[in-house]
Amino acid sequence: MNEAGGRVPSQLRKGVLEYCVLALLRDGPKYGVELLGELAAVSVMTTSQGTIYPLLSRLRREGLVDTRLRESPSGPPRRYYTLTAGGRAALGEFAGVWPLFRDAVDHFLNHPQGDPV
Amino acid sequence: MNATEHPLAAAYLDSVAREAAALPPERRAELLADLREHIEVSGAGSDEEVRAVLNRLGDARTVAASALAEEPAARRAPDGGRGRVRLTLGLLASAGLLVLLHPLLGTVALFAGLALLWNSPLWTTRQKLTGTVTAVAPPLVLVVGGLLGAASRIGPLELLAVIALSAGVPFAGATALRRAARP
Repeated sequence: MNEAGGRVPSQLRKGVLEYCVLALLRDGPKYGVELLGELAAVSVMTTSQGTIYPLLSRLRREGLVDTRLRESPSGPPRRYYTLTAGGRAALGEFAGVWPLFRDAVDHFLNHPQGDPV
Repeated sequence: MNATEHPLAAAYLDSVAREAAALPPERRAELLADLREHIEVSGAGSDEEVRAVLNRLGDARTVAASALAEEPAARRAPDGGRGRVRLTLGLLASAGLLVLLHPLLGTVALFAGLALLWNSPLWTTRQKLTGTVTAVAPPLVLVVGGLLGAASRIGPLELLAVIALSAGVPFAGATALRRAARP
């Protein structure tokens, strides 16, 4: 089993993967294959690309992303995912909380006694 | 050629459909459409390329499980349709013998079983065809045999063979279907 397939990365991914997806859409729409390729480039983020589609489907139902079918210069039409205003707000909220969260985890890992940093 | 028509891709989509049987129908259709589009857009042509795309997507069971995990528990089919599978296979397995005992009841059971079989997403078309043949063939052989007048000179040995055929072949077919369907 590779490093991305263990229990710890899989547990951690559950909470943060959707925000990584939202972050990837921050600078403009992307189609599925493109989005999944960029996620997979960071090995710890995904093991099976196919599992991202159910996540995207939920984000769409929650109104955080929107989809639009666009013709492609080569090949079949592609479904593009766009960040909605709601998605941008959720990403902003996560971006605000994440540093505190990361620092808190680092704090416990580096100072197991709970001493103030 | 469209990559989704590649036999490997078609088999992959079939097994995702089977594994995702407990999803609400519209959600399953959406997942399959997403995967189909992914395979199509990837532009894979050769066996090698299609295999690589499918490998990256991950195995059918994992993908289906992630879709189920996104569903609120209450919306999932209560037992993954297991009771329905049991009913379908029970009807198909017993219809052959039932036809011998009570032709009308047996025929009704046979058609009910076939209707359930063909409306289920748990099996591929080929598996459904095999199941249909094993369920339908024994009664059909009986009817044809009866028309040819074989019944008039039937002995105890022939009767045993007829019973074994009517019970055994549909049962074997149903057993194969049970193995093929993943709960």
